[in-house]
Formats: sequence, C-alpha cells, structure tokens
Amino acid sequence: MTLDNIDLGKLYIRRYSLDKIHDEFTTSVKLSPNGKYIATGSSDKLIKIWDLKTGNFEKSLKGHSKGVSDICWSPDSKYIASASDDETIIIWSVEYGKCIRILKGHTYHITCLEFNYKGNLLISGSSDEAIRIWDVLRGKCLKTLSAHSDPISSLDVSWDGTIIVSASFDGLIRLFDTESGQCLKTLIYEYSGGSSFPVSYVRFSPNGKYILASTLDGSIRLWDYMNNKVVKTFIGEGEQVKNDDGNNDGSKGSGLDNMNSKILKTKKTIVCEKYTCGTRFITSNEYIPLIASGSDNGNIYIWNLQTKEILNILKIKGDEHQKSPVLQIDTFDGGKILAAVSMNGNLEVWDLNENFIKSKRDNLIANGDLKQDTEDLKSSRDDTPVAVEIEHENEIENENENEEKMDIDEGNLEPAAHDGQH
Amino acid sequence: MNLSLLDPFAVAKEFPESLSNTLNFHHHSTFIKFNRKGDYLASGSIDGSILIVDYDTNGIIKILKNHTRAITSLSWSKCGRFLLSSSRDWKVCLWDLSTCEVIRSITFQSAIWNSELNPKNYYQFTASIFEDDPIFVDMSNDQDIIIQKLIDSKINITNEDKNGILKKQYTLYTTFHPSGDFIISGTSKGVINIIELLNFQIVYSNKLTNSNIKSITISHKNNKMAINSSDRIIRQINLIDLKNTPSEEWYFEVEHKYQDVVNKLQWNSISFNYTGEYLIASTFGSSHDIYMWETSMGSLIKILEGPKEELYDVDWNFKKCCIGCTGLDSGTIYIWSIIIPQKWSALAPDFVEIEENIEYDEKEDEFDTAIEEDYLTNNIDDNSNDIIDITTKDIVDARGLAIRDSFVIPVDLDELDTIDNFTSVEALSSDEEEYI
Repeated sequence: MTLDNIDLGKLYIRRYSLDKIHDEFTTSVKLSPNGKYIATGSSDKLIKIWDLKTGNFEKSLKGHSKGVSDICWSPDSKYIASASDDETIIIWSVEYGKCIRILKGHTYHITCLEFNYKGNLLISGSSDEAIRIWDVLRGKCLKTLSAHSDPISSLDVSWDGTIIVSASFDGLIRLFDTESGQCLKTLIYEYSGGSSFPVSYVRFSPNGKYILASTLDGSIRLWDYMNNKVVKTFIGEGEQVKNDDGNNDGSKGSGLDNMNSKILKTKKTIVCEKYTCGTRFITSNEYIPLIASGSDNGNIYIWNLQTKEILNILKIKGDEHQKSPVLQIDTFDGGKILAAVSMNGNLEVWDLNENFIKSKRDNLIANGDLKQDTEDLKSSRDDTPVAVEIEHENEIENENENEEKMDIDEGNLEPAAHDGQH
Repeated sequence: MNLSLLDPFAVAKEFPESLSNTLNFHHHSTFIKFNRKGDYLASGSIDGSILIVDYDTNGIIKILKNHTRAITSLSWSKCGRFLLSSSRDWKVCLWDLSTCEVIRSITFQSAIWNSELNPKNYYQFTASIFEDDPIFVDMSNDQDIIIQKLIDSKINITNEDKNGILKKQYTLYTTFHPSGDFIISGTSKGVINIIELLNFQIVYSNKLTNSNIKSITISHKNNKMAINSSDRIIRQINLIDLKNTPSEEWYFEVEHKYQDVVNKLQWNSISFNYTGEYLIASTFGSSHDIYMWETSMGSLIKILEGPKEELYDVDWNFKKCCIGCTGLDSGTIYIWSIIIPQKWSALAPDFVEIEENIEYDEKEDEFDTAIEEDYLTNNIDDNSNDIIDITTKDIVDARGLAIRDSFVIPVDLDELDTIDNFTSVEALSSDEEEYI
C-alpha cells in the first residue's frame, strides 16, 4: 500500500490534463481573470494560451530571447505581461498576439511580476535584487526598490494596491508602500543562531491582512504582519510524522497521520525545498478556507487553513518514479477552478467538488468543531466593524446606504459597457 | 492598507504642508477636481479638453475632447464613473469614463458659470448660466431631457434696491447640498437661496452681502458652508440638518468671516477638507499663496507657500490628504501633500529607533546558549488554533475614511499614441507662440 492509494476524498475533480505543453521546462500558469483562458510560460521562450473550458491550444506568443519565468494577466484580461531571463518584460495584447510594450531596466533575470488591481501599475522582481514599479501605459519605470540582498523570488500586491510584499532568497519578507516606495516592514523567521531560510513564494490573503510565505525549509507560514507573528504553519506529511514521534505538539496528530505513520516515515515528503512552488488561498466556500500549494514531488497539497491538516493531495499525472515539481498553481473564482503545471509540462485543470465541502462542513458541525450556523457566521462577521470609532459609524452607515443605491443604478449600464470591451 | 503601517504621527496629520509635485502637460488647466476616492484627477483646460490624470503614475490616462472653449467646472459622480463638465462654449456634457464618450450633452443659450451633479443621481445636475436663470436638469431619459428653471426671472425683478429701482440679479453659483435634497444658489446681489428639490420652491432666502457671490462650498461632514464673495470676505455658515428641521426654523448665522485685513486679498477659490475642519483659499493677485483656516475658532493656521504665479482653482483630495491647485499663468497643476519619512526600523525587525542614547546594561546570562533555545521556542508559537479570518476587509482606513470600491478607468495601451500626440502638439504650438 502506498500513499497514492489512500482515498482522501475528492475535493477536486480533474477536468482535463495535457501532456508536454512546452518543449522545455514549464515555469508558470495563470488563469485569465475573465475565466476564458489559461496562459503558460516556459523556458522555451514561449507563452502559450489555452482555452480554459476545453483545453484547446489557442496561440503562442513569441518574442523573448530567453526563457520566461513568470507571467501575469492584466485585470481586464486584455494583456499578458511576461518576465524573462533576457532582462525584459513584455506586455502582450492577447487578442492580436502581439508585443505592445517592452519594459527594460532590470539588469539580470526577472523572476516574478504582478499587476495591481487597477492594471495601471506592474510590479516586477528580479535576480538583480531590485523590485521595479512600472507605469503600464507609458512602459516606463516609476520606482526602483532596492532593499533585498539576494534575488527576489516572488511578490504580491494587496487587494487595494497600496502594499507590495516581496520574498527574497536573503530570507526576508519585506513590505513596501506602493506610492512612496518606502519599506514599511520586514518579516523574518529566525532559527537558532540567527539563520533564516530563503523565502520562495509570498501571497497576500484576500483581505490583505495576512501573508502566506513559503520557505525552502519545506514549510509554509501564515503571517499576521501587523503583529509580526506567525499564526499558522503548514507542513508536508513527512514532517508531521516527525512531530508525532514526540518532538512536540500532540494536538496535531490527525487521524490521517496516525493511520499512515508507518508509510510516511519511510516516505518523507517535504512541500518544497528546492523549487519555488506557488501557493493560493481557496475561499470560494465560507466555512472552510483552504490553502493550496504545489510541491517538489509533483503533488498539490491542500490544507484546511484553520486546523492546518492536509485535506487533499492532488497528483499531477506523469511518470511515477520521476515526479516533476509543480512550479505554479492558479485558481479562478476563489478556487472553484484550479490549474497547475509541472516542470515537465503537464497542465492539469480541476473543478472544486462543492459536495465534498458540504459534507466536510456537516461533519464539522456534527463533531461540534464548527458550532456556528451559516447565519451566525455571517452575522458575527457583520459585527466586526463595532471596533470602528463611534463618530465614524453613522457616517459610514449613511454612505453605505447611498452607495448601494448607486450600485443598483449603475447596474443598468454596466453590462453593456463590458460587452463593448471584449 | 499601507496607512496602518506608516508612521502614525505622519498619518494623523490633517493637512499637507509641502509642495510635492507639479504636473505640467502642456495643457493650460483652469479647473481641477479629484474624484471621491482620490485616485484620479480631472483637469479642464482653457481650450476645452479634459484630462484624466492617474494619481498612481502622475500621467494622463484619458483625454476627453468635445468642448471648444475653457472648462468652467467639473463634477464627478459618487461612484467615479461619470463626469459632468461645463464650458464657456454653452455646453454641459456628461461623460461615461468606461468608454470616454459623451452620453448626454445639452447646449444652453449662453456660457455656463458652473454645474454640479446631484450626489444621489448622476443623471441630474444643477447649473448657473451667464445672464440667465439657474436650472435643474434631469437627463435620465436621453429623448426627454427635463430642464427646470429654479428661480424665475420675475422674482429677480421684484427684488428692489433701496431707491426702488428695479434691478436684475443673476444667479452666479449653484451647488447641491450633500444630501441631494436641496440646491443652494448665490446671486450677484449677495443673496443665498435654498431650493427644495422636491417641488423646486425657494424655502430659504437671505441677503448676506451686497456684492457678487463667487462660489459656495459645503463640507461633506458637519454641515459647514463657506461662501466666497467679491467683497473679499469668505463667510462661514453652520448649516443645520436641513432634512430633519422644518424650514420655518432655519436660521443661519455667519460663524466666521475670513479676510485679509492688511492686504485686502480677493479670494479666487475655496475648498473644505472632508470633515469641514479646515478651509483653504487661493488668493488673487501677487500673493501666490494658499491660506488655510481652522474652522471652529476661525483662525488662520497656515499659509502654503506657492510657486511663482497666481493660483486659481483649489481642490482637496480627502483620501490622500493632499491639495491640488492650478496656476493661472502657466496652467500647471501643483500638488501639496504630506511627506512621510522612511522609518529605518522597518528595514530590520530588530532595530528600534530611539530618541537619545541609552546606556545598555548587559544581563548576566545574555549571551548564554540557553537563550537560543528560548528564542526557538518563542518562535514556534504559531500553532495556535485561533480562527483566522482571511476574507473580511476593513471598512475604514487609518484616517477614519470609509474604504469603498470606486470605478476603475480601464487602461487602454493602444491610446498612448493619442496621448503622446496631444502633449507634443500642444508643446509645439506653445513654443511657436513664444517664438513669435
């Protein structure tokens, strides 16, 4: 019996799987915000666009002279920006498959990039240890943020676009102010002796209050950055067994671990120690927020964010003995669709199984772990603004009222305008 | 979200103090207006073009062309998607910024002094017209635009002066009360009229002064109204809760009069901050400054030193806490903002900024190895079973203003050529003029 045979339930149902989508290593996958396309980037210098629904190949974007490390869709899904080892970023028009901007300025391989929610700024990180903020319309660099002392591995922008978080191999997670370019905060997870592991991937939580950071010690940590605190740590199966042996923490011994501890001991798996593997928050269900991450061993791990237990392991198809790392995953609509690529070029798309979530939730309620009903949970959330100063309270209420009316009024015009755009 | 991480003393500052930016697009700006969220600036120019400037990049993102003469006023809808413009070419246009096209356009019989959108309905606006009656317009239906005269010219004529000579007075400025239920207008004879939108009746009328009322501004909060008139005095009035008080009980007292007694300065344009605690005014003539008063005591607290030219239109960006102003001669837009210093302790988590040197006493066991273990265990306090909420967003920012979604003007990368052409052509023509 191997780990692969254990039925962990079907959280995700595979929609389709494509083989060998690129000639060389596939580095990145991103779903378009409108849910129509998948874009993949590769070290074979190409970006390929696929139809999300069917998996049909649409077109490839050719122009970089070296491999592509990361790609990013603009919020309106009209453009793709790609970061390459040739030290340029290209912004492509998806409709025409043409290069429309070349952003030059970085002095070494560009590793990561991200648009802000408005699509007017593009933030890029590079092995030259700098982060650059670009004016997308003019293709000009507005600011260079030099605060790291090793290559930037990953970055993300908060939902309101005001904070940039960056991860670097120097072991630091830094937060920058988008407007001024100032460093706002530095997070560091130190082991004894003051050393720290390289940080490989960072991601803001949907509300921007937490940061999910993967480090090359094989664990993923959720930081409460306002309080400089790690609030949750997510680790692979092998690590958990080690904990069961008595090093610490009995509370984490979930039923799963006890059952399979034998196997797990021999098959020690770590989420990511070598590669930068992407992570995502899955929030399409209110009750059980999840975290998904690619891994060095070709699996996608999905944890329950609150209990930190592994809820599901998705496997990329391919040679059993030569598992290829999952370098990037991406989600659409809060995780209803999940796409992942392995380095060897397998592209897989899954759909979230709503029934699984439902049964899981019912279980939790039955066990008494999740006492609140849906309504309770919602109302407790509505109560949070109580902390707000009283003098602002009335004002906000009034404004929200007005705002709602406005939204309804605008609803009439909105769809027509959108149709015109695409 | 960045505000909560910045220096709290810098964030708590209520007004900007330093000139931080000048925007010059070779376009002579006459009127500027920030949208409610403060992320876009609309600038109307002397030749009738309107630029939308992105606050993030300080670059033009849209050029709106329809007017042929100087823009006299601009008004954003609350949601940030629609913009109303009025011009000396007798036209008022409503723009939809998702397509950047005019969706409604009305031509009047003469130039427009100013126009303003109803804060509750972006298809309704009020306007004051040169030598004509002020109007209220409902353009919800494109085919059937309703134009309502607010003050009948008959009333104007019956307003006699002391000698019994009939004298006409014109409305020079109209504005909406933030509730959207009243229109407040000021006339060339210093009379303030409050008109109820429900039945278009004048519910209140009072003569404040003998001279022209140039502009009226009302704060978003705390019901403060300031009236700028050509007798060089800005009068501040505390508007009571108009909606919930019967009009018979209305009585407005002038709380403060702002004037420069020494220099007898004429005020060009005035603007409140969001809460109405501060009032700013640009000055006519050679003083080149912006004056700022604190409105509860009525004291002058700051003179923002300006560039070397007369400043004309001022507007307060509440959200970003900055002040924008146009230069009369060059048409340049000047921005004053709060400069937040870099916190050096942010770069290294174990750094602490201290006011002065501290004599440090090393503890007996400070560098013993046992500490390291403590340190390690301290760090592994992450196994909490607290429920973490990763989806609920804050509803107010660190300054206490509501965080709201606002319309995002789409960036079209193909439009750069038009924008470039616009700025370069303008530059060329202005160079030629100098040459001649």
